Amino acid sequence: MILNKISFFIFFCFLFSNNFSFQSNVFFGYDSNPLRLSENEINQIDVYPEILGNADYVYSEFIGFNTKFSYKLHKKNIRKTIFSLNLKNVFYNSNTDKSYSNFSIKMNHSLGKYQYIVLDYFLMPDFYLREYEDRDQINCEEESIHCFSSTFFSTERLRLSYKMPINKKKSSIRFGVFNEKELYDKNFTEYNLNKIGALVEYQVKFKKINYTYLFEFLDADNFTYLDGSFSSQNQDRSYKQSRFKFSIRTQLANKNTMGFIADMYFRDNLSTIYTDNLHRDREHRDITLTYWYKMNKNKFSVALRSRNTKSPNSWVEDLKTFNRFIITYHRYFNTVRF
Amino acid sequence: MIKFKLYIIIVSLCFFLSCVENHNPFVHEDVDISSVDIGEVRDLYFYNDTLFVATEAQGVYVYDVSDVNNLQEIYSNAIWGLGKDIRSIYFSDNSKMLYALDRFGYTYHGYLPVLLDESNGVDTLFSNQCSVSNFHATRMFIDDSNSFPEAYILHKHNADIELYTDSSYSQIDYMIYNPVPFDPALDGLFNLFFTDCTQSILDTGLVRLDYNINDMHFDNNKFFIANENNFEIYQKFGGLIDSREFEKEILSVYSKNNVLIVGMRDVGCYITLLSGNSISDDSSDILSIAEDFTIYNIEYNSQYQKLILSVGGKGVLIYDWDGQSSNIAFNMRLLSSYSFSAEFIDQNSIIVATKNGLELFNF
Repeated sequence: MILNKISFFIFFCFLFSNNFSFQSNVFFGYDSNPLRLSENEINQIDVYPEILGNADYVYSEFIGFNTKFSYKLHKKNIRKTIFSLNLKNVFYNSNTDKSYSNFSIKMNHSLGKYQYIVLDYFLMPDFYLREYEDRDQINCEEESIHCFSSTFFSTERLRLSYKMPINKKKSSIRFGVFNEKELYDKNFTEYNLNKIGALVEYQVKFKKINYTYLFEFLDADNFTYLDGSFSSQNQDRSYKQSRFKFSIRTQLANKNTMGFIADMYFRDNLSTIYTDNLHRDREHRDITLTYWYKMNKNKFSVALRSRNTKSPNSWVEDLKTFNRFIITYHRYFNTVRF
Repeated sequence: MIKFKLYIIIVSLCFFLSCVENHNPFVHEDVDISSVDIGEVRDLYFYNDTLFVATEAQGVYVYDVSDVNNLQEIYSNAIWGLGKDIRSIYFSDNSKMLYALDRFGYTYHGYLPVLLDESNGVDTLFSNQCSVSNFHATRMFIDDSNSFPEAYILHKHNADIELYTDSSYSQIDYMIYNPVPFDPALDGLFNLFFTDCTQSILDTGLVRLDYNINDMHFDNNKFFIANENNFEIYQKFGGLIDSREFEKEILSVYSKNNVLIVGMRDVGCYITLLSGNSISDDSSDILSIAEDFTIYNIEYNSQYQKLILSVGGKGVLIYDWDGQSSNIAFNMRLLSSYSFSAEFIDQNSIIVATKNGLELFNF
C-alpha cells in the first residue's frame, strides 16, 4: 500500500520534528449487538446459531486504543498547518471477527481570519460485517437454510471542507464535500458502493454551551449492479441518505464536561425493480442517542441506536430493523509534546 | 517556504491515492447460469426437448430446448396473458393439447400444432367453460393415462361473493371431451368446444371439500388434498380414505408409488407411506427432509431420479430418490432467485421458474 508507506514517512517526519505531540486513550465497554442482528434473528439463534458466525454471543465486550500523532507546522510568514494521524484498534472479546482497526490522516490549514481548509482521509480495511448468503456460490452442499459466508468490506473516505467564522470565536460554519468507497470482498462485490456527498455544519457557543448542527447528504451508487455476476441481477442496492446530527457540550461548575449527541440518518433505497423485494421502496430511519460525561481524564458514555426499516414486505422490516446499545469507558493519557 | 509547500503537496497527494481494492466478482467456474426475463414465472412443464412456461402476467411461452445453452422461443402470446395469472401448465403428448390454469379464473386448452402454426391465425388458448360453475379455478391435474386427457380442476366457491351458497367450499370438477375426438390431429381445434363437466369425480353426497385448499395432486386413482392444516386423501369417484392434521400450514403435496410427500411452511417435508388405503403411522415409514424450509412445490423427475423442492427465496432443493423407497438423500441446494417450480432439462441442467423469470443452471 503506497499510502501506508507515505504515512510512515510522514510519521517519521513527525518524530524527528519539533511541534510534535502524541495523545492516546484506552477504552473498554459493552456492545449489546455488534452484528446488528434484528430481533427476529436474535430470537432464532437457538435454531440457527450459524447467524452468529464465529461469535460466541450476540453481545460482546470490547477494548480499544486510540492514538493520535500531531505535527504543527508554523513559521514566520507562513500560515499554521496541523497534520495529524489517528489510529484506532478495537478488539471484541466474544466476537473476534468484529475486531477492527482504522486510521485517518488530516491536514488542517489555516487561511487566516479564523478560516481553515481541512483535508482528511479515513481508511478502515477488512471490516467484518456479518454472515450473508452469497448467491454467486450457486449451489450449497449442505441441507441448510443458511448457506453463509463471512462478509468483509473496506471503506475509505476523502473529505475536503472549508470552515469560516460567522461571529469570530462564537460561531462558525463548515462546508464540505466527500467521496466514500465501500468495497466488499470478492464474494460480495454486488454490495459495492461509491458514495458522493456534501455537508454543512454550524457551530455556536451560547451561555457556555457549545451547539453543533450538521446536515449531510449523500448519494450511494451501487456501481456493481448488473456487472455480470448472478447476484447483481435484479437487485439494485443504491440509495440516497440524509443525515442530521445535533450535539451539545457544556462545562460544569466543577470543570467536568458533559454532552449529548443525537445522530439521525434517513435512507431511501432507489431500486425500482419490481421483483427486488429486499430493496424496492425500503426506507431506514436510524437514530443514535449518546450521552457522555467527562471527569478529568475519565469519560463515560452510553449510546442507544435504533434502526427502523419500512418496506412493503414485512419480512424486510423484520430483517433490517435492529436495536443496539453501547456502554464505554475511556481513560485518557497525558499528551506528550516534543 | 518552499519546504512548507512541498510538505503540503506531498501530503495532499497521498490523500488521493486509494488504498482499497475493487475485487473482481466471484464467478462460479463449474456452473453456467443464464436467465430469460419474461416476468414472474409460476410453473414449468418439460417434455421431449420442449419447455412449456406459465407466467404471472405474460401468458404462456413455449421453448425448444434441444440446445440447452440456446433456448429458442417457439410460441408466446403476452397479449393473451394480460389480466391473467397463469399458475399451472401441462402438455398432453397423446393429444397434443396444451393446458393452462388462470388463478381464480378459467382453465384453458389449445391444440399445440394449431397454436404453433402461424398461418392459421389461431394463436390463443381457449377457455374451458363446460359448466356454469367452472370459474375460480385454483388447481388442475391432467390425467393423460387414457387415450384422451381428463382434467381434474379444483374450483373454489366463496360464499362472500356467490349468491348460490351459504358457506364457502371447493369442488373438483371432472372435464372430459365428449364426444372423444376421433382423430386429434383433425379435430384438435373443434374438440375445444366439446367438453363435458357433468360427471362428478368425487361422491358429492359424501364429500364437501374445504375452501382453503392450497394444493391438489392425483396419483393411482386417489386425490391428495392439502388443506391449510389438514391433509386428506379421497378415492376417485368415492369418498374420504384417510386424513391427517398438521401443526403447520400445508402448501404442497405429492405422491408416487404409495409414497406420500407433504410440503409445509417452515418445517419442510413430511414423508410417509400409504399402507393399504391409510396413511402409515409406523415411525419406520416416516421421514422428514428440508426441515427448516417452506415447500412451495414438489416435483419428481423419474428419468434422473431426482426429487425437486421449490423453496421460494431459499432457492431449490434437490434430492436423490428412486421414486418408491423412503431412501431420500440430499444432493444440493441451488441458490436461485425466488423459486416456484423447477425442472431437469438434462442430467446436468436445471431450469427454475422464479420471480425474476427463467433461470437456467448448467453444471
